[in-house]
Amino acid sequence: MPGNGFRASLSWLHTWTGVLLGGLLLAVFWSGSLVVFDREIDRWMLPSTRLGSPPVDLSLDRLVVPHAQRLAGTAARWSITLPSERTPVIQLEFPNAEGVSTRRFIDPASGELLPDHGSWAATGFLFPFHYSLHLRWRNVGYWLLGIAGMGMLLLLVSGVVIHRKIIREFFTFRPHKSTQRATLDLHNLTGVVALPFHFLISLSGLIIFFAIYFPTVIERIYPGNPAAFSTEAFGNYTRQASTEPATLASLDAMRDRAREALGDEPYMLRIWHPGDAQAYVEVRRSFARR
Amino acid sequence: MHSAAKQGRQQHQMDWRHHASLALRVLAGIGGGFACTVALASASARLLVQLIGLAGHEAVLIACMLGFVIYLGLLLWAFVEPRLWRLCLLLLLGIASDLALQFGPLAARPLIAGAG
Repeated sequence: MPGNGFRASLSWLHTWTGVLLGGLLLAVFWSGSLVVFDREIDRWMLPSTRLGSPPVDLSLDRLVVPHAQRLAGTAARWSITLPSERTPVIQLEFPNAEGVSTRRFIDPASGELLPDHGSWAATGFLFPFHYSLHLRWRNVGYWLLGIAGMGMLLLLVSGVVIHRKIIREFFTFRPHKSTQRATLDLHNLTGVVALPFHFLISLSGLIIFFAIYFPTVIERIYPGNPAAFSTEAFGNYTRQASTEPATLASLDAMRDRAREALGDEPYMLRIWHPGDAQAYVEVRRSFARR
Repeated sequence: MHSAAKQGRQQHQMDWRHHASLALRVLAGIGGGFACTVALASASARLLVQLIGLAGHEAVLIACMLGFVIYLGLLLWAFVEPRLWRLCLLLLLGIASDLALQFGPLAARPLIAGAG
């Protein structure tokens, strides 16, 4: 054992996990707290998107499709996010010629393409930073954050075991003693107050990316065909593009039908292989997105 | 003088052994613990499908969520188990149990009923 006894070993573990992963955890939790207000930060950083309430009825065929065809006629997909209470603009996202995700905003009242500020803002920078550190190569960012998340769980459990007099320590604050003493008292207080939140925040962060950490489990049940898992679990649908061109059917009509079928307002339409005879449209409902 | 030097050498040797054993423990806990977790999660997913008849994707999701808790337990245990050999033995047993399922008598049973 690294320490002399059970509690001393966990104390050693608590110290070293904290020293090694504390900085990374701070970056993730801090950006995560900011991301709660990501749309508001977007409005602040992208002044031209500060518009009034969006019109209740808007036509994607008329407002968005011409812009999409002009900007991204050959792109493999267009993602159109409808305006909401917090985002008064239509967002058009597509991979550009180099395959890099590009975003443009459209005024839902006039259909005017808003100027590109050249900023990723909070939804483009902070949010992906929060869950991937923008290190997409071989999912390095996801793995680093997986290590940090497991480390946080270790810190929580070992912390509770070390501080066995948890009730007494909870009511202890000695600001007149050394700064280190007072800081430790605050560490105990905030740690215990938010313990269930800390635990669930870390665990749910890990579970969201289970497919990155446990591809082996999927492979074991769906040998050689992991895509079948996504199809069954999430209802994903995919098909290849043909080389035959075709005109896109009306998005407004699809949106109306989706609204009827889902009983909920769609928030996003993603057009796969636009302009191709094998094109299809993915419609997402907004129940979990506010 | 002579005995002091000898004592110093012994001390040095003990430090070295302590560090080596700690390094092995960290490696076994983090690396071996993850390998064991993946094995146990895979085995659970397989058993959920084959013994309870759960749908494949449900079994995968349950097993993966369980995996994080298993890994947490193994990591904690790795740092408090006094005997390092017991830790290594149990991790190896966990991995072996999954291999036994994969290549043992249950391997022939179909994994997913009616799904293609």
